[in-house]
Amino acid sequence: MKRYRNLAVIAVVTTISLGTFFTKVAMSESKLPKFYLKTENGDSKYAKDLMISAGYDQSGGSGGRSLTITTDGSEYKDRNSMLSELDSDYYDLKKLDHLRKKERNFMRGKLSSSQFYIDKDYAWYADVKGGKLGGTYEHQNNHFKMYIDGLDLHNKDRFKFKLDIPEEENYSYIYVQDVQLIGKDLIVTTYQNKTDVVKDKTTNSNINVDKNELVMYRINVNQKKIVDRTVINESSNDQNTHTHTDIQNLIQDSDETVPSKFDVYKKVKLKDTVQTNGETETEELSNEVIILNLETGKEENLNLSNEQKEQLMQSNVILDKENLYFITQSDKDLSVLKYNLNNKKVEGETVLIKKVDSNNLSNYKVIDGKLYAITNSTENPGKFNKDLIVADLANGQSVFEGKIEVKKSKGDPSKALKKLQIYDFKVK
Amino acid sequence: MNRYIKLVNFEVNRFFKLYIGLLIIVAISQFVSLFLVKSKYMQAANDANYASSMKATERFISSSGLLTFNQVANHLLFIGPIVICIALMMFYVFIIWYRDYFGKNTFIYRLFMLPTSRMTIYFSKATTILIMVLSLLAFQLILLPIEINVFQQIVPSELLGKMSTIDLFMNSNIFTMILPSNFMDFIFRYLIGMGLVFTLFTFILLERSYRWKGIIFGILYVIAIAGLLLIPAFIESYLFGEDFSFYPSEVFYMELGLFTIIITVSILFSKYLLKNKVSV
Amino acid sequence: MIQVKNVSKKYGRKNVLRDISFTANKGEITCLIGINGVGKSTTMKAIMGITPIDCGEILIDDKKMNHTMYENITFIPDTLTMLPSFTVGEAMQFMKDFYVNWNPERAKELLGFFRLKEDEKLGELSKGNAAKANLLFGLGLDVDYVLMDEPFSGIDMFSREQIAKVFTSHLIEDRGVIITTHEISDIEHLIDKVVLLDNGEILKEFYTEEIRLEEGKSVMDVMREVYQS
Repeated sequence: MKRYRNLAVIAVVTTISLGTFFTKVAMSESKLPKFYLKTENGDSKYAKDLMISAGYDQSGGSGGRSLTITTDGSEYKDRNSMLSELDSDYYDLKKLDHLRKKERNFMRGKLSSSQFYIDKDYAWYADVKGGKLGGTYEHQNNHFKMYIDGLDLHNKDRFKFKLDIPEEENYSYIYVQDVQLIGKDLIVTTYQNKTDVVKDKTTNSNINVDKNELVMYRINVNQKKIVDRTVINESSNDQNTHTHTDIQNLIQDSDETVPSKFDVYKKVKLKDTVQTNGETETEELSNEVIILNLETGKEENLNLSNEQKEQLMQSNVILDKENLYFITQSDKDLSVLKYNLNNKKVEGETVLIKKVDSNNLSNYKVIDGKLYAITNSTENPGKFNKDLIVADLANGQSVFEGKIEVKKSKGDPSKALKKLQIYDFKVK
Repeated sequence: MNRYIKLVNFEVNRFFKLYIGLLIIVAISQFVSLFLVKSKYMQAANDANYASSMKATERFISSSGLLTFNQVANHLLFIGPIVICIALMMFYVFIIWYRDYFGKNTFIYRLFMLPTSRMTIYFSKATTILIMVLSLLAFQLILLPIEINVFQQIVPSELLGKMSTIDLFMNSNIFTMILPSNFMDFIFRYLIGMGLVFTLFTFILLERSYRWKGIIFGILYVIAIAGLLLIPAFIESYLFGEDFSFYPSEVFYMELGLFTIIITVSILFSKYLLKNKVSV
Repeated sequence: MIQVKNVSKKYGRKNVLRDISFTANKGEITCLIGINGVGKSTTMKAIMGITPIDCGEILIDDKKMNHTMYENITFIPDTLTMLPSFTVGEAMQFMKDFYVNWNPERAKELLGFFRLKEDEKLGELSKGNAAKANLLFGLGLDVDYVLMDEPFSGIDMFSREQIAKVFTSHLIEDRGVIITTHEISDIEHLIDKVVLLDNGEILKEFYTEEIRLEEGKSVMDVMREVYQS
């Protein structure tokens, strides 16, 4: 029997050691605090489909844990697990997660929510693919093609086709910004980059000059053809003043899949100065909000006074359906100005959102004319508030106030709340 | 079953001396790394005169951070022995067969003349590899709390970032590779490892059956397996064209299925070779 | 009875065994004779199933070789079949662990007969003692058939005497023995049957008693005849 001593000892010690380890891991998981979203005020219907993404900072240098919180409770993401990552809810919009479950084949490989167009009858997706294996691109001749895929949500008819892109050979990359269905045509707006090699007048050497273009493609779905291609706007470069203008898609869209006949973006003027240490510093000289009317195919300017435009240069612009919301964050408060794109004018007065703690604003979105805001604030030493406020942008009044609470905590809940940071959320 | 356990016991006993040696190397090297990390940090701390005042301490901590065990776990002398163990075990996958053939040893005669199926021999060798690898992991798990404890004794408490063993596994270090804290991931990873062992065994048996030709067959076999595992990528790129991609879960299940086929084929192939083609 | 039927084997391009057939019976000592490299060891290993054959059939008591038969047939090659680090005692324990037919009393008897000590390491034994230890591990099994490959080669004279004694003792008795050697002088008087091999082929298969009675020849005479023709 003593011949078996070595094997026995090894087997027993190994089993106990590994068993203890995994038990401890499970136990420490179960010790993590459970949170939930509690309705403090207002209509709890706003919280019903909400999923808040948060981070919990376990002390002891083990880093943060990701978790999601709903009104029912919280779920921690398994950090070191590869298996649990498979087929998890991937999209930032719940509607896309649902669509993936229902129409698995259609949703295959479609990863970007901004490239979707979804209304009650159809779902369309547009993508531009090209370049070499491995995802690298040349300055030119990348053989870009546009891939259109549509689904009739009622009878499940599928419309899938590939299009040649005119002049694609001149571009170093083309990516799809937005997809809309205007009438019977699919409008795909893209952001494209040309890299030209020019001689720098000062140094007399060859430099790469980037030119960015915003291009609109009108596609006849029945004929499966691109019937129009227009360069809507492009960046420019003034070597003499070392300034360049660029088109930036800084407009937040709460839901990029909804039908909209407007595309909104900012045109910024930037100045580059080369520092003494050789690095280039870029500063923004001015910016302008530009509206592209997809029906007419023409750009429109904002119908605002110069004074208003000046004030709103520092605001965050959010597009929600047919309205632009200019959200200004100051030291004390959060104010919102609504601009109706259809009517081409400001609607109402600047609205103050009082309930939102402007200083500790972590994230906000505009959905259906309501502002959803997440704050992480410390009232006084020892009291930590993680709030979610939903305010009606018509009058600034809150329609929902929610607070993250700890479920059945044995000790002081504020300890757990202190380590929690909420930073994003997902609604239906 | 009885003879299987006896064979496993036999193989484990043969390896035991080397095994103890490995444990000692790991322990010593890791303890040395402990002290080295502490010294280096304390050197910087003393250079900054951290102890002169509260403010100085705070300043030092905010610039250099607290000293946590994770820094030890990333030190060369900590990771080094682990890597050596891994390399050695991979090497032993081959040695566990070849040592019965070469040297003063023609023990392979005895093994092949045992009144037990040759697959028992095959599985006992595979089991031995698995047991040794898992026990090395277990040893590391036993060593860690001791190391952490010693570490926490020698580092001044104001500069110490406390960490338990479990906390260490939540960090990013070598353990995320060799000991995932998620149990299913762990099982999965080591199943794949065993699959690799079975494949290598088939390679070895091909060589023992056909010598030089066997090595070529073995290489072709490994290439075939690699090719098989790449089938999902192949299907995605060539069969369906540019506008098709698999969901990660689909790729996972396909690979799992292919993997199962590969393991089964490796084992059956090994069985055939052991019964019909391998000579002493 | 061990039946070798039309067995052929190639090592690379070399035809080591060419269509050989012979039988060895229980209760008889059969000797495979031939010079080095003629295929004797290969034949033994083929019978034992530890070297594969290309074609032909080998039957033991009318059954094809499988692993359960290792309780019934043993092979004593001219190399050590145990770990050199094992002591004699540990090796005997190993045999006991794995073989049901291991006979510890007989093994102890052999131990005494060969004057080996249990605590001696196998790797440190002299050539003669190592060969005797090998024999011990083979003969300690209650098997019907014992195959021995060159049991006398390179062994000192006294050990050879001891080993030769085994053949007349009860230790062999009614077992079937196949022995290979190219040196038959020690055991010529013990052999019942001879199989002469040359270049992978069987030149002659005969019973020593019959040849002696019918033709008045000794084994050596027949060998001279056959090999020099």
